[in-house]
Amino acid sequence: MSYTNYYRDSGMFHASMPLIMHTRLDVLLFEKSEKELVDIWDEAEKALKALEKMFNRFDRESETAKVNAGAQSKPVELSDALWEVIMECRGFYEKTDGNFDITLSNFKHLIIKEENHSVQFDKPGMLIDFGGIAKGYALQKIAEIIQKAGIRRALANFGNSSALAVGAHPHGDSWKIGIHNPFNNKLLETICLCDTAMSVSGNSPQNTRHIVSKDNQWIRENKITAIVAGDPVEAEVITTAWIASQEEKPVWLQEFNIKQYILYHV
Amino acid sequence: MYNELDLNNINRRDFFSTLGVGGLIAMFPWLQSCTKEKNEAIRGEKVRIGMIGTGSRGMYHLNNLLHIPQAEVVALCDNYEPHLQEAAALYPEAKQYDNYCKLLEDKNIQAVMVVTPLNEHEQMAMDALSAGKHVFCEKSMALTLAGCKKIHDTYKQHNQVLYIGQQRLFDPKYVKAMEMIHSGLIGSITGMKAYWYRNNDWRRPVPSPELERQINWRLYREHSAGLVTELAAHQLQVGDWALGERPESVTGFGDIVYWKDGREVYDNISLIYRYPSGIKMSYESVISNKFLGLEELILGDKGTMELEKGKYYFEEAQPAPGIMQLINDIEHSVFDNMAFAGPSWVPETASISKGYPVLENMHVTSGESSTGAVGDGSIELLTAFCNSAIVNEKNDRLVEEAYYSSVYALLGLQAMDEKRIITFPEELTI
Repeated sequence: MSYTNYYRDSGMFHASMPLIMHTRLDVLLFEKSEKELVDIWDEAEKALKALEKMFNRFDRESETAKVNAGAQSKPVELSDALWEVIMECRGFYEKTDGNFDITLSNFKHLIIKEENHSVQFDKPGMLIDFGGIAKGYALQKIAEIIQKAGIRRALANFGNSSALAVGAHPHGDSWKIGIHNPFNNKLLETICLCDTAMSVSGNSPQNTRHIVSKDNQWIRENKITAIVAGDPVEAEVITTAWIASQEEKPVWLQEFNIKQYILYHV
Repeated sequence: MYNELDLNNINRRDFFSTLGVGGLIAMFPWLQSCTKEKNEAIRGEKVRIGMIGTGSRGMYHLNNLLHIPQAEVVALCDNYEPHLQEAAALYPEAKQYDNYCKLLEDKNIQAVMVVTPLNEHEQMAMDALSAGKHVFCEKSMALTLAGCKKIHDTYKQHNQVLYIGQQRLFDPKYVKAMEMIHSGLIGSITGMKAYWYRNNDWRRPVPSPELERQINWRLYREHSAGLVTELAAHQLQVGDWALGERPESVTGFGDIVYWKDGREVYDNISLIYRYPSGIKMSYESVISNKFLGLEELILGDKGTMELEKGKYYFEEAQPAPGIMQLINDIEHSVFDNMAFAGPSWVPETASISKGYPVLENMHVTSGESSTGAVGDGSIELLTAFCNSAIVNEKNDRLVEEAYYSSVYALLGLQAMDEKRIITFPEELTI
C-alpha cells in the first residue's frame, strides 16, 4: 500500500511506501500527465514489491529465505534474477577485498555451481543477507522505469540513506541534499546531486550495530560514509564495505567509478 | 517582532521573501496590510485610536497595542467606571469618556475599536463609520442578521477601514496550514469538524446584583447569542477558508443542560453546516466538560489537519518530513537544501502517529481563556488594522469573511431555536 498525491500546480507526483525493505521510500516524479505518472508508479511499485519478495530473508516465502533454509544441506537452484545478483555480489566481494559480503560470514564458503545456477553453504549456520545492497537494486529498478518512461526529472529517497537524483530540482541546477549527523542532528555537508545516486551508511543512536566486519565483529565505531556514484547498486555496496573495512581510505575504492566519497567521524 | 506576520521567526524560512508576497496575498488577500514591507513603508507613522469598551477583551487589546508602535491610544470609553479606571492606569494620558457618542465627536481620534457587548456593536460601528472613523469591531459582527447586513452596507458606503476581530485569519499557523491544505497536502476535503469544550460557568464576578446583566452580558439573549456568537463565529469561518465554499444550510440543537443558573443562552450546542458539495462541518460546544478542548479538524482523503494544534496526519503512509519540506518548496518555486540524508531510517515503533507540525515553535492555546491567548494572531490583526487605517487601505475580503461567519453563527442559532433546517437566505448574500 502506498500513499500517492499529485500536485497540480507544480506537476509533481509524490509516492510514498511506508514500509519497504525495512524502511520507507519516497519518490517524486515530474514531466508527465497525472494519469501517466500514476501508471509509471504502478509499474515501479509492482517491481519493488517483487524485489522485496526476492530479497527479504525474513519472509519465509521469499526466494532468499528458501535458499537460506535449503542450501544448508544441498544445492539450491536459483532463478535467473537471483543468480545474476549472486554473481554480481561475488564480483563486489572480490572488488572490495572481501569487505562486502552477503553471506555475513565468508563468501568463500558459498559453493557456486555455474552449470545449474545453484548455491550451497559449506559452513553450518551460514546465511545470505541482501541488506547491504537491496536498496541499490530497488533504486536501479526505479531508474530503469523512469528512463523507459522518458522522465528526466525525479527524486527517490530510500530510508534517508539512499537517494537517486534524476535531472535537477525544478528550480535549481541539482538536488541539494544535506547529510545529518544522527548523533546531534547537525548538518555535516550538503551534496549536490544531478543524474547520480548517493548512499550513506553508518551507525546511528537507534541502530548502533548493523554492519559486520570481515572478521565477523559488529562495527561499533561512529563513522558515516557517503558515496556519490552513477550506479545506485555500487554506491550502496561501497558505503557498507567501507564502514566494514574500518580503514580511512581503502585502496579498493579506486576500483569503482565514484564521483564523490566522504568519511565523517561523528 | 510582535507586529508583523513574519513567519521567519517561527519557521526557518521567511514566508514572504521566499514565496513572493504576491503569491500569498493573492491567496489570502486580507494579509495585504501586515507584511514586512507595509510595516516598513509606514515606519514612524501612527494612528490615533479611541477604545470603546475596556472590559476583559478590551484590556487584552490595550495590552497588545502597547507592542504596536504605529498605534497611539488617545481615548478610552466605558460606562462601567472600574473598567475605565483599569484601562486609564495603562494609558494615563488618554482622554476618558463614559459615552461613546462623545468620543466619536473627538476630531483627534482617527480610529475606534468597538469591544463592547454584542448587542452594542451594530449601532456603535455604524455611528463610528458615519463619524468618519476607521473601525475595528470585535466579532461577532452583530446580534441580528439584519444588524450584520447593516454594518456591511454602511461599510460599503464609506471610505474608511473596517476590521472585525477574526484573529485566526492572521495566525501564522493557520495561514501556513491553509496554504498546505490548498496545495493538496491532505487531498480532497471530505469533512470538517470544529468544537470548543470548556468546563466553567462562563461568568464574571458581579460586585452587586443590578450589574449582573451588564457584566455577564454573554449569558442573556438581549445582549448575546451565547456560544454561537462568542465562540463558534471564530471557528465557522475556518470551514469556508479551507473549502472555498459557503454553506447552504444548517441544522442543529441547543439546550441548557448543566448551567441552569438563570442564563438564557444555551450551554450545550450541536450544529451541522452543509456545503453545496455535500460536505458537512459539524460544530459542537459544551461548557461542562473540557476533555476535548478546542479544535478545528479538516478531513481529507489523504490526511487530516488539526488547525488549533497546527499538526497534520496522513491516512496511510507517513512520508519523511524532509520530503514534505521539499514538496512544499517545489510547490512554491523554492530551491533549497533538503536535509534528509544519514544512516538508514529505522521504522518507528509507535503505532500512533504524533503528527507533523505545521510550523516550528507554534503558539497553541487550550481554549480555556475567555479573553484571548498569546500568539493567536491578535497582534498581527491589530497591526494590520493600524496599517490599513494609516494608509486608508480597505480590506473587503476580511469584512466579507467576518460577515459570513457572523451570519452562519446566527443562522445556527435560528436553526436551534426553531428546531429545523435553515437554508441560507438569498438576501443575505453580499
